[in-house]
Amino acid sequence: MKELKSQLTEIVNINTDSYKGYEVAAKNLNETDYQAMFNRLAQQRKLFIEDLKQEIRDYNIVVDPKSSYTGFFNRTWLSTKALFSFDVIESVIDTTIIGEQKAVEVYTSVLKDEDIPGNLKMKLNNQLYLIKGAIHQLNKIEKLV
Amino acid sequence: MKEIIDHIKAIAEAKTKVIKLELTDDGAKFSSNLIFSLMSGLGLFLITVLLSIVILTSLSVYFDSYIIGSAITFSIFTVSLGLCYVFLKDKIKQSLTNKVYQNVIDKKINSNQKFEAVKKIEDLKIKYHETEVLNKVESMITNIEHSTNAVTSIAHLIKDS
Repeated sequence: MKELKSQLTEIVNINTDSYKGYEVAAKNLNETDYQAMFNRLAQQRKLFIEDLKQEIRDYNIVVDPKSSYTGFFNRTWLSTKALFSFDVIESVIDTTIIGEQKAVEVYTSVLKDEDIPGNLKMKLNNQLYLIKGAIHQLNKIEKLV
Repeated sequence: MKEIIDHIKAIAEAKTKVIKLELTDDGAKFSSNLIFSLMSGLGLFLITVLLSIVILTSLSVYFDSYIIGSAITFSIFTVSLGLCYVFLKDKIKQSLTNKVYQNVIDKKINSNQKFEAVKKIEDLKIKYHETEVLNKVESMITNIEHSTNAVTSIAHLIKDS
């Protein structure tokens, strides 16, 4: 149970980093369409956290979301790049894709564990699918700009 | 004693949090949303009525006919509504979806926070109970030690005499 708690804490933390990163990204852009997209992705990650917290209630686990130092530096780097770069959207997308790939790594490593309960596994798989979808969407936009 | 007071304080704080969360979830949020919707609806209605009166009166005076004035006013409003729909359709849809999505998130956050607060109360109660039991066991051990010491001293005294 302790192992499960630490794995879920890692997932919740990576989602906390993601939603904070998306909020910073939305703030650094002037295009309303991109702003709307990043805000929506931030909302999606918040929902992921709350969904997971709700799911693990049955196992009597409470996780306390904390933003990691890596996430903090990633967000600061994102703001700095946005400030000095001419292709703001491109650099913002680059940084968010790196963050999302990290999230995919964390989800994949947790999902490899066979002791994860079925319902939770299904929820995590759905979230991973949506994260991959976000990466695909970001890659498509990057090619367009 | 201080530990017990701290425990009671922590439990009271957690209970207050649960009550606050219940209040924000049910009554307060609903009434604030309702008041906001009513106020904005009323404001929009008054502005539209005033605007239509001004346009209707000026057009009727200009064309010297209430029928032409009303017809043009009606056309102006229909066209404006159509233009608003065409240009603001996506924005309105987006903000409505955002609102619905945010409501779902808020509800989940509230429910999770309530669960965490209730769990904290339970944990604190268990911890308190555990401390109480530990204190009792410790005092029993001390009593046994005292008794053993007393018995040993008596035994030494008997032996010496």
